[in-house]
Amino acid sequence: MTNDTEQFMKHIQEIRMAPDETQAMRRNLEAYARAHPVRSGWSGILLRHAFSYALAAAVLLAGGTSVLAQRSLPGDTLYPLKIAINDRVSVAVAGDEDARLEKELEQMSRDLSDEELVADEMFSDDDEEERTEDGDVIENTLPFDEELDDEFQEVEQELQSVSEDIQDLQ
Amino acid sequence: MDTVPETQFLVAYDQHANALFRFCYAHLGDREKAKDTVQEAYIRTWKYLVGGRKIDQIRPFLYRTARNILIDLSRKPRHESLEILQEAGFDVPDAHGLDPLSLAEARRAVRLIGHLDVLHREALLLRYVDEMMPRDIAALTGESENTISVRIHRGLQKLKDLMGEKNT
Repeated sequence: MTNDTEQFMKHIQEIRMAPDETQAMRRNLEAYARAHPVRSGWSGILLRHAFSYALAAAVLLAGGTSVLAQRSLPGDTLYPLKIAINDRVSVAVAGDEDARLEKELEQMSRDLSDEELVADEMFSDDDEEERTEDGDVIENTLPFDEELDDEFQEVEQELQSVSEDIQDLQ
Repeated sequence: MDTVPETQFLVAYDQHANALFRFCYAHLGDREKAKDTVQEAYIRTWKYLVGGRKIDQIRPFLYRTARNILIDLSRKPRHESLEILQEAGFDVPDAHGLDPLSLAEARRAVRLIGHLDVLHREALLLRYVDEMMPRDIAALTGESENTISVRIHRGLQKLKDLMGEKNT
């Protein structure tokens, strides 16, 4: 009885597409294959790895940007990037707690140096002297910037705090 | 353009398209949907080749691809079950020179296996229509060979019962 059932199933083998349907589908697939050819050789390799190349280029670009950011000072366009990326990376890779604190101290010192550099530029002695009509020198007295002074004081306090933490650990 | 993959691809079409069609038709019960599924299976296969990958055995690859499409179709909210299509009347294929008696039996067979659950139906189709061995069916479906053998046996039993019911 099972053989009869199996033979019955085999009737389904009679079911197929009509010849014109088969040919029409074949033509469609042939056209599709020609419109989307398999690329071999160098062009194939390049295309297959296009994503990897794009990613590498993005990393290089980001890395190049990061290098430029490293040289930026407060007020420069890339300075926030320098603070955000470079600092986090270097603290993150510093292994233990001591190393992290030292890294933070280093960065704060750097921040203070950056601020000082900017301040130096603002109060540069190289500025050309201005004179009155009578020839007297007009002193370059820039208005006292309270906000900048507060920032300096904050950074100094943080430096002091981190320095104390390191001493406690020693 | 490299024509060798294209040639091999079209050879695979000539060799397996009709078998794939009846496999899809037996699951869907709809001629146009079965054709769409076959075409989609071949397009996906070509895309796979375009990606630079090789296919060692094209036949199981095609079946696996078609199977995945059928699974996706079955999950769509508006998918109609084979039973509903049967009640509405099968979209039967044209004879095209085939023996009318054989074609009538084929239609009857498709209707009956439509009453089986999808796993038993698939096992019977792949075993007795596509003449795959249980180990090849197991590789294609990701099941164990033992599971497939049991499924074939139970599927045949259920089909026999259905044939007996329909004859009374």
